[in-house]
Amino acid sequence: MADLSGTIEFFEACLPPLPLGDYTIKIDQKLEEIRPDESFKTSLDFSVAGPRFALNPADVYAVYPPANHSGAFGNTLPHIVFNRRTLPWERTLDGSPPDDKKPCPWLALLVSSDADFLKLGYPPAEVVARKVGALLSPAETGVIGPEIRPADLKEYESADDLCNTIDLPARLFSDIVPARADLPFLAHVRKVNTSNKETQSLRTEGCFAVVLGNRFPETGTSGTMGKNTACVVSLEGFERHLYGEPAARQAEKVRLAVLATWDFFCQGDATFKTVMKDLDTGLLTLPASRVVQADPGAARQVEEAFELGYTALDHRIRNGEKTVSWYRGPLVPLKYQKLETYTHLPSADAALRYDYQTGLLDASYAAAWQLGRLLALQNTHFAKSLFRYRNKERQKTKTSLREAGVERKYALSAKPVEEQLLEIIRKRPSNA
Amino acid sequence: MGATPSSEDSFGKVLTLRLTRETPQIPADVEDWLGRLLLLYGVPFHYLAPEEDMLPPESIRFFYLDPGWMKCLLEGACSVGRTSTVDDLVDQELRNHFLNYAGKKAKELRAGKKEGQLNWPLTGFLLRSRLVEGWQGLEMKAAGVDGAGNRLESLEPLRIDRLNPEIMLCIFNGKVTEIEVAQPPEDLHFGATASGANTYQKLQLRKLFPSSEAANDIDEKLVPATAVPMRSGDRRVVDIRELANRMDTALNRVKAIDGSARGPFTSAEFAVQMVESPAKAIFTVTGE
Repeated sequence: MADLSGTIEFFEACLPPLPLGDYTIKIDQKLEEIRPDESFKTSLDFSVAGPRFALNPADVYAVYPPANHSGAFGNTLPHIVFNRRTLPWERTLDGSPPDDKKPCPWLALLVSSDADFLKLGYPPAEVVARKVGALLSPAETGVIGPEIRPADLKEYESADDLCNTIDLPARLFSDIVPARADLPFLAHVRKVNTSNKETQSLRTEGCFAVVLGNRFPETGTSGTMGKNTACVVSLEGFERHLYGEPAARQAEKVRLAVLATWDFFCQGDATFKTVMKDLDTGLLTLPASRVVQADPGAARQVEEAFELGYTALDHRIRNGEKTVSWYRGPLVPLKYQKLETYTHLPSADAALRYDYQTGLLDASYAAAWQLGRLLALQNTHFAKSLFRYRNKERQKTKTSLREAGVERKYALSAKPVEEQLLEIIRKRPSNA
Repeated sequence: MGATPSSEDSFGKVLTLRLTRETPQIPADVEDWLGRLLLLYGVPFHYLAPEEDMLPPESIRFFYLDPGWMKCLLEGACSVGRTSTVDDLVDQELRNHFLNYAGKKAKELRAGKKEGQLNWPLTGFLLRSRLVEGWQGLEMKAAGVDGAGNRLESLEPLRIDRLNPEIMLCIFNGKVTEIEVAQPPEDLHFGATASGANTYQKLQLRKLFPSSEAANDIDEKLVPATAVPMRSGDRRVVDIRELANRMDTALNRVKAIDGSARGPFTSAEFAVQMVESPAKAIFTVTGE
């Protein structure tokens, strides 16, 4: 195989050029020549905002293992890829401005399995939409939220905003949450060459932020599904509850803001490699096994047609009769040369072909013709544009034709052309 | 007074007019739409594969694009607005050239490149698999031959699109001889090799020095497998900081990391080491 490989570059972090916060631009201008003792001042307040308790789903580019998939992910550290490459470093654990010397993400990817909860005697936790107010100061006893005072909310944030939350048993949380020293290693930026991507994910620049989990998923044993849940949570305000820190507040449950979550099932061995290896390859034709026919002669003919990519479909022809016709789409199993010129087909019916051998019609090209027409009519913009263009060209042809006629008619006459025209107009019946 | 020109005369004149007048310029939006049509945008799926057996679950099917079919499709589209049987200049122009107009635009659609042309025969494949749904941004690379039979190491993709969650359509500019489907690099995953219940190790570390070079695997004889340290509390949680330390130490020992002027071992170095190589599958297409 030729070397068609792209490149990937890894970067430690990508901090926003302007950290989140409130800013003021001040302008102080002096006109030395005219009014040296007077200055003109103005100022403008603005805020740089960013996701805090909720995330636009469009910011998530991909997750791994893929959502709701089952496979042999047991030796995989799950991760999430964000389009927004600065996202993991826009905030900090304690709310201070990000430090570009020691970048540390404020997001963490927590992986838990249903079995984790059952072991501790809890039902598996659900992600619940709550108001930001209920996240910051939970009404339930024994539940703690992040240490963010309602007064810390910005003007554009409200305690009434909705966000996704999860209540994790405190014991589980403190077992699986990354340590302070782990966090910087769990996020990085990746720059990818994207030229061979499917069209919808083409981007001008292939920079993605990646947040990595620190826990291997639980593989299901026989009988269990091996369901794992990955939650991307905000650790802002949980600085004192990270792994290895002496927790300042005792609690039964910890309430976390969930910025993204997905489930996957960990079992079996359906990895990329095995799925690819088991793919059935071939040309785009119907399998010969589809031929069910007693008469060997007819069966051979149908088989041959199948090999050429044909299929037989019901066809209702113009006089109302029903028949079966051959049909083949634009994707064929053999090469047809592109011709320099093709015969002009004025209508779909002109493209119907009769196959003498089988006595059936071949409706492939007729169907193509008709489909083209239908698609063109469906797209009013195209249809109108083509129609306008036709009219314009038709007018032009008519005008040149008329000019040519006039020229020819009066070229040999001695009378000035204007007089000749007046004469014609007078001869015409009125209102013609 | 001259006689009224006969119809024959005027048609004679039309013929010469056609010869002398400049060819009408097809509007850009018409061309664009025809270009998209040539790449089968908007064509319902059952026109492409009318029966499910042609593309069963977990299969890949290769094809040539039939220029005759495309010509009929475009011709049908261009028939819109034809008001008389008298063939005007527009029809004549469209009839002879729409395949070329569409081809020119089709090439620009994806890459935005203006130069070059379509290398008929166009070929491609339909892929139906849970892979399509599971792995966003699968990379399709093709090698093949162009219209003149010259080998092209990298065939230009004209269309790589998901038609539904599990079906993907790819059309390449030329005849495909090899297809490589690769796990997308930004979807590379991180992990380690399992070596028993809840024990994991990184078998091979990657060279990080000099930094301008690709991070190739280090000979495993030089660096033995690195055991992945786990937290004592939960046997599936990795002690990330300690793992990073171990990697740093192992790399330093064989001078596979820039020891003198190097910065700290950061998340970037850690990520390079934790990446499991992306899998790829290569299909060879033989025959005419």
